[in-house]
Amino acid sequence: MIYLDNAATTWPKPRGTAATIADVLSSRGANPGRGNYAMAALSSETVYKCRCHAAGFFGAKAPENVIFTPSCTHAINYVLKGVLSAGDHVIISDMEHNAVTRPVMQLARKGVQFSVAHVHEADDEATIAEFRRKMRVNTKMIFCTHASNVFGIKLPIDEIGRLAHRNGILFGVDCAQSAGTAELDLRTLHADFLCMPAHKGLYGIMGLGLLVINNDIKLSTVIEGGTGSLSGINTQPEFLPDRLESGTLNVPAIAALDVGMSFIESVGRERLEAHEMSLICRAYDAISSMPECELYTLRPQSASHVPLLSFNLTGMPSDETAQRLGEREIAVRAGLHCAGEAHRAKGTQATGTVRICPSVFTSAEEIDCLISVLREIDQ
Amino acid sequence: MHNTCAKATIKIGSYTLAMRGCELLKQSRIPCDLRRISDSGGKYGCIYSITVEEASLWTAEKILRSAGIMVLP
Repeated sequence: MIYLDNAATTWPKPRGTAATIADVLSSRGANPGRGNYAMAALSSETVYKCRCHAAGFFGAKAPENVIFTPSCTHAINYVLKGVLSAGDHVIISDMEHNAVTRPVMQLARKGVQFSVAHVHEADDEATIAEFRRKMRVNTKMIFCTHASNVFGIKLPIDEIGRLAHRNGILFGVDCAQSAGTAELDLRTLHADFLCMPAHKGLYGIMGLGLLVINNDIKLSTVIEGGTGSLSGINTQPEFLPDRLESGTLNVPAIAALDVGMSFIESVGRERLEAHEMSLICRAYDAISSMPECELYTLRPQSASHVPLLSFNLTGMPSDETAQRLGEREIAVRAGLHCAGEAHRAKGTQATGTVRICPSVFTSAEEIDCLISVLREIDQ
Repeated sequence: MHNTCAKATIKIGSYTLAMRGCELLKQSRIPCDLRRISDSGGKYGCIYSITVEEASLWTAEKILRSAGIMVLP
């Protein structure tokens, strides 16, 4: 199979991932932070090691600033619902995934105001001006995606973060499609919250997200419960990470994330991104030469895009194209990609798009095979 | 020979903070041990104790507090 659905989840996983998970289950399977015996300590150390690794990976101030969540969506909900309350105003972009749009809509029912800033592809100044125009006296937060999960268009998050901080506004970023390939270093990035899944560009497995916090704000909690700490007190701990980590952690996924980050470091993030970008440009150039094909973005480049691409064969619904590719053992994603707003912004909500996304394991030959099959389908 | 140095414990609420605390103390060459304990008074319940030599207690607590690690009373 040619797997080009890496924007949904990367596959395959790096060598060593499955063995690490098996080792956790067989020899480190105790509940972390819940027991005095040796295996519980091993489990706790597994979590701590990955937490420290992630803190270094994203330039967090301390390991406790890395919060493990069940998914990126959970992390985003923790931030939005932990910061915003009735009367507050938040700005999002028109490239958001439903992981951002839907919590904001839910908050709007409770009196939170919101505005949507239009993203200008490859025109950072125009995009920043859109965010600036949406600011109000009660704007408490800007929360936006780093890169569209449909079109790959990057937002200038550093500049948006500067704009936010200059105006005393908190800034959160959905890094679901950028973590692992794009540079994300909180020592230089003007962001208060980074949210991401472990199972995409970080090459971990499903069932784990990360929230990396870069300020001293005490988020209101969305979930409360057992943390393995201060059990004699009936209220949620004040300190991180416990405050935001109620319930048993997904230790196998945390151990897999540790492997994934080590894999990225061994390959080199910039090398990895360059490989994927060269593949997506190869696909773009070939598809743009096909008369019956529609593309929706400029030719991708690192400064303004992450390596993923949306297209359609003219006159063919996206799901039919995906179905036909699937029958030829080529895995892609069709439809609206849980991002109706982004499709509305690009005018593709009626048809959806076919999305392809390579990983470090994708070869040029596989992209050529995709193009060859697309040409056959198109005839 | 038995080590007769008097020991003191520092109570920390979280495993993550206690682990980081131990690393900081070891970097400052202050020997320490980390254990998960049940607070005998029952006020806090499950917490972590960092055991250091009593002579290092003041310095150890200062290091932890200056790193933003909350020491429980």
